[in-house]
Amino acid sequence: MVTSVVVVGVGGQGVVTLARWLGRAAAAAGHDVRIAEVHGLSQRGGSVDVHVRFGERVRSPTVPEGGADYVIALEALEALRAFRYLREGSSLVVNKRVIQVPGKYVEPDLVFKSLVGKGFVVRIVPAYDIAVKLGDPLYENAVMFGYAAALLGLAGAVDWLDERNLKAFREGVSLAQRSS
Amino acid sequence: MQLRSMGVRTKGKIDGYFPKAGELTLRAVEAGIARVLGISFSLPDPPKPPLEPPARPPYFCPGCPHMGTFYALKIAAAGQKVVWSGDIGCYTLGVNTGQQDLVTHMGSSLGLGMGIAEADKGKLVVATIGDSTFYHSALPQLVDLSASRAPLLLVVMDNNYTAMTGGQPSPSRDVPAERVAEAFGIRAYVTDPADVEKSVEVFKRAVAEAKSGPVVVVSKRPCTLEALRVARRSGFKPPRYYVDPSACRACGICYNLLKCYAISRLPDGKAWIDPGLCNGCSMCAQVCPYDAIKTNEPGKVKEWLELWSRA
Repeated sequence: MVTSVVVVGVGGQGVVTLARWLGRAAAAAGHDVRIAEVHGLSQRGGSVDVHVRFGERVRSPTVPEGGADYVIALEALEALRAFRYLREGSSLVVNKRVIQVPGKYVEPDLVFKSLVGKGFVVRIVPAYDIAVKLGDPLYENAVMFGYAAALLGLAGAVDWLDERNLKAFREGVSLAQRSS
Repeated sequence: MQLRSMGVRTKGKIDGYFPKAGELTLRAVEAGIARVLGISFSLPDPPKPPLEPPARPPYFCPGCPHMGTFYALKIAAAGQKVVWSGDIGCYTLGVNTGQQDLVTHMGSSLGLGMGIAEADKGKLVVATIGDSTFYHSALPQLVDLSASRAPLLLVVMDNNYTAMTGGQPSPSRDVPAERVAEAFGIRAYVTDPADVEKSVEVFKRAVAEAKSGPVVVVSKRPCTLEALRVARRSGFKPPRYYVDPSACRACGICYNLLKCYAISRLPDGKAWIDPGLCNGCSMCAQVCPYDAIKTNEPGKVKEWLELWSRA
């Protein structure tokens, strides 16, 4: 069996890093892993998506539309854009954060309300708020990593993560454990 | 085509089995193969987003020095007919404020700009080029500029790195662009884009002088992303800016002219700064005519801009 994950977000949030972490955790847990960085301008605030697939034997790295088991979104407008990857019953894990597009303001409440009740398992994670509490929004991807790793059963194999990211990671793990 | 000329039967893009342009997605490839094989095959439509998200084109990073350079240029050249002769690099994103009319290849800003300046004296040609591209691809044109004395303004947007490809080093400190220009007999000025008032003044003078011959302005401030790396390593937290909603009068100068990615236009037209994106460059506070943009840590701004300029 292969698990298909699509990680999305905005350039600069650490989308590629989060996907690599997930891949590394899956490999450490004994899975075959393939990652496809389908990213655009990753440092310039553009949309970024990265595909991660792991299991006993993975033959292709890309996830087709309607083919993701999990979409991990570091940002809510990008979660909307990633809806095309979802299928009935798959999970959408969204950071409680909206990064506005200049001149195109969208009310954050409206975005989060729209995600719910569409046939997918939606989990809204306050990763940004936790990262700010930890001292830097930079850690939001590590919080999301913890949350996603706990959901995917990969939280046990991250001894290579540095100390500050590990702290954020653990916050994410415990949040996932409390909410499940 | 080669296969066909050899007599091999092929089916592909030419026959419409696969799209001629755009990305070869799994969906497009699967549908194409099914049609070639005559298999009836249909994928369910992917889920539609419940709310259409706005497109997210690339922008300058918050605090990018190029943002300040383009702003100052726009103000300094206001009322003139300008041809913005662009080049390849992060600064091509000047297209977002309508300040890149043509971009063809590395070094084209100066080469094409000179031709336009000679052919159309009624327009002001502003050629914008980054430091790396300047050293890599514009030096032959600089010889030509020195000889032809074409009336134009060449702006070297010197951020001390090859930023667009990930921050590789640039020779800009060892071989300063202003000294290169002077060595070729072209007058050169230097400014810091984070000092908006001074930059506007320097560009105004340069614009006036560019009517009668070539002028170079080197707009110097290191790439924000590199400065943030330096700050992180030394444990320095940059100050952040916020909009005082009672003072903001919704003029839109910050989000329309500076177009900083961290600044949003709220539904009432007032500005809002995302605290998670602001890098504390202070440029928005300088352009705000109502002093509505403030920082919580005014004492830190000078230190930050100093640290930044050494990145």
